[in-house]
Amino acid sequence: MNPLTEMYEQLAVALTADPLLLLASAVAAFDPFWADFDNADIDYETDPLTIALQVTRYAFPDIYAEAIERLRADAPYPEMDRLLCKAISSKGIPLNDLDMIGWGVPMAAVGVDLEDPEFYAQHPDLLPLVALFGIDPSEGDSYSVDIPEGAYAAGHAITASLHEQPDSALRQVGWLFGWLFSCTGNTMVDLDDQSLSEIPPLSWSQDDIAFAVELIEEADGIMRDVQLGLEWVKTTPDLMTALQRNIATLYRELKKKGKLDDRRDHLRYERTIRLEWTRIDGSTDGATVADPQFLLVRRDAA
Amino acid sequence: MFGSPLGLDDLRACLASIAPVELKGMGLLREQPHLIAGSSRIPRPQLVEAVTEIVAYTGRCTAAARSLSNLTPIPLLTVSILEFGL
Repeated sequence: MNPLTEMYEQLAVALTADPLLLLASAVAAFDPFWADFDNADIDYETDPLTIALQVTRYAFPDIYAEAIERLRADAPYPEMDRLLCKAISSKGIPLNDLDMIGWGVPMAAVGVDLEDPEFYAQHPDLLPLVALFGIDPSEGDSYSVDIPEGAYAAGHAITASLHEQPDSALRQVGWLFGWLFSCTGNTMVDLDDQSLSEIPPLSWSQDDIAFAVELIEEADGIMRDVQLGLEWVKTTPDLMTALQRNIATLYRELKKKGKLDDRRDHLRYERTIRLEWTRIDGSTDGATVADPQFLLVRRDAA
Repeated sequence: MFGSPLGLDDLRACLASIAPVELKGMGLLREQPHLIAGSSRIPRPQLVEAVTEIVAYTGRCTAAARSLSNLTPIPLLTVSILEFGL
């Protein structure tokens, strides 16, 4: 050990001998930004690295500790960018670029705009499904697809009915229709990018972070069910037949009822028409299947 | 205590009798003083605990300092502090 490093060691030991100096040393070593962020208000106009340090300091102390360590080692900005994005993403909030942190919690919309022709170009496997509702992207102009009146009401009714089924596979098909007709209840799944961009983003407050993580996890789960539901539809001809009949029934009833004006009308429409489904696994136990050959309409319901 | 004279020495003695704070980070530095230069050799769970505790502690200190700076004067009609007697 040379005199310089020896002196350094002695100084370090001396700093730990006095309680006040030890406290100051500990704060300097473990929380060097303690005086920079004196409240939970984040200045979103400042640089991304400062925002990230403030966010991680109170929300993800483990990431903050790691970031401090790398800053001490003179890590360049691109390395800090990668480190922080990877660490924050591992907490359930996908962050690809630190520059995005100033815009609030990043949320990726996966919702559907049925009027957008591009959607059908990206998902040609959905064409047989939307055709059941009378949606034909090849008709109309190239900028917007015509959606028949009542398609959304029928789509919501199909979704509600499938969600009530004891067969988990049918419920997965229900999530598929919930996604298609934007009625899952999850903002990320129900809105497309453009619609989501019109909503103020969630802040980096602890409450908003917790809510965002829950929302993202739920959206991921729903989209997994959507994929599984789509597989069931593709591989189960009986299901397509049942869908076709149920949708035809819903359209017929809607035509009789006329226009649905408000939420109460929609609920009445969804509840008074009882749709029947065949379990995808082929069994006939439970109340799912009353008569797989015919779709029953309960006219006596309130 | 109110009603009896409170001297500056008493106040100093009162504050001095408070035990020094003991934080996990302080313990780590006491055991390994060279960590002042960097904490990369601390096991991650210990490091996270130490950072979390210190962040909470500095937050409490900042909040306390803010509260003290915003205290409104309270007239003490029955207490006499001899050092500041007029």
